[in-house]
Amino acid sequence: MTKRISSVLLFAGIGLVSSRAFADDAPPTPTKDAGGPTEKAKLVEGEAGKRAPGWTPGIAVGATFNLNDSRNVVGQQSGTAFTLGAALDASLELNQGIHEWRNGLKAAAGATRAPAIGEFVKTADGLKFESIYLLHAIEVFGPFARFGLDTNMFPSLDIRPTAVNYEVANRDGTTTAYTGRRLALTDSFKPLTLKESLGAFAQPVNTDRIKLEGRAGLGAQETFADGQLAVNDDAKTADKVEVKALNDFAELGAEAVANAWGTIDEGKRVSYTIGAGVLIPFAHTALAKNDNRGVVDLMNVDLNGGLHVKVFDWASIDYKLAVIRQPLLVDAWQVTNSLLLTVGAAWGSKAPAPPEPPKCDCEKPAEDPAAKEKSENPPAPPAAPPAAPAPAPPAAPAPAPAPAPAPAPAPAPAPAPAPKP
Amino acid sequence: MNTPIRLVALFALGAIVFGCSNRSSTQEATADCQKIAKIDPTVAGDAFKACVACFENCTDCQQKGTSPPSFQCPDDAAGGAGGAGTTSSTSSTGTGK
Repeated sequence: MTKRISSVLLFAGIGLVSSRAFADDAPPTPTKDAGGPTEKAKLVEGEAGKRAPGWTPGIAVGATFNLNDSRNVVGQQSGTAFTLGAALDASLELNQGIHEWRNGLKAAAGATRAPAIGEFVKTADGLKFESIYLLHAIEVFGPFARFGLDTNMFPSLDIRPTAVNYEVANRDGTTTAYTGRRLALTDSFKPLTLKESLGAFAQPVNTDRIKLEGRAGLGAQETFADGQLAVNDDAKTADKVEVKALNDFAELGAEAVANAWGTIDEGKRVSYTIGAGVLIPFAHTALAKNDNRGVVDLMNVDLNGGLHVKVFDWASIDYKLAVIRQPLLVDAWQVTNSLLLTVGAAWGSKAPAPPEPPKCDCEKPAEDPAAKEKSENPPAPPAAPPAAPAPAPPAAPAPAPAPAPAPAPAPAPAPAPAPKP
Repeated sequence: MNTPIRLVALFALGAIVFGCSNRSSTQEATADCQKIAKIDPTVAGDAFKACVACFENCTDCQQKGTSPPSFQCPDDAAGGAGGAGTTSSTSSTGTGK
């Protein structure tokens, strides 16, 4: 209890205020072969990298909060600053024989209120859904179909401390001037982008450490943004802020995507994801009369990366990078960097694996009475007996809550809350 | 068991933060002030900017019978502490709070 309070105090400076520990009910059990492709085709290490048969749900929720109040402090602006945020990451996967169906839902929102502006300003907002079906004709290769949705949940405004001159370029070529500090840009759930893909995939590597997946085929995107605005400021014009009115558009073309994800440690407390995708549109909504951009100029690019570090069962640090280029929407690179300390909980596949129980030498004849007594009351027998008879210390990675290196009669103390027996 | 309640609370908080604002956007404020300017032609130039600034701070901004025209949010008129007071044509910043 004291340790938890100390931890909370430790993170209070960056917004941690409350916590509750959640842990998976039971360690994941090794899965049997799903009856699909042969073992020969699998480039996996042991059972760990196989697709778990059946439904695999997972959900993680988190929240951030930061409060800072200053009054007459030299060097600081007086006032109260808030930062609020929430995130949801849910997945539902089905593996049955040669069929793999992955569904993911991610939502995030954040807002900050600073004394200089005096109202909440949206700092994070996103809703993403993806459903992809893969037919493992052979374990590492086959056709796929994918549907995706990407939008914002809340309306957005360009809020500034003082009034500025906006120049809105309308779709009909005219401009509208505004002077103010709260320009409305987008409505809720706008822009809304739908993505469809059809093609072939390859999964050359499928281990816990790294899952590598490449996809190529036909891709289509429809973006609904009619009447929405996007700031498209020209740095050369300091006296005004250029704003662009957006259009609906659709495009069809060749798509290629490469994704890699996995966990760095055995405890699955440090995970990563990295991906890149391009869509080269061969067909698209008609451009404006003076728009002479070619296929390469209109290429959509989507780069993303993320690192998730589970500090405790109830707290994690997430870094996310997203670099998006959608020339038909805005001819600029949209870059998002976020580093977030989140207090939350996770269940199912989103939860970190509990620490393994210490291995015992159950099959080895106990020679000394003390060892025999220990072996009669093992803390938790492993699912499969170890192949090596020698009680060598397991090579556990440093960041994981490692079990005791030597056979012990009781589970080793771990920094995280101990799993249920 | 408490988790669904926490989730609902989180999203309710988000809705409050993002959805329930008694402030106008610049476009809405401009449209409101254009209506006022049609009735009162003196609401132009800096007075028009002051009008927009006031409506950006509150949706029920009121014009005061001053010359040049000035505008005020009801909370400010009630003497609310910390308010910016009257948004006039000579002071168009209208920081609100």
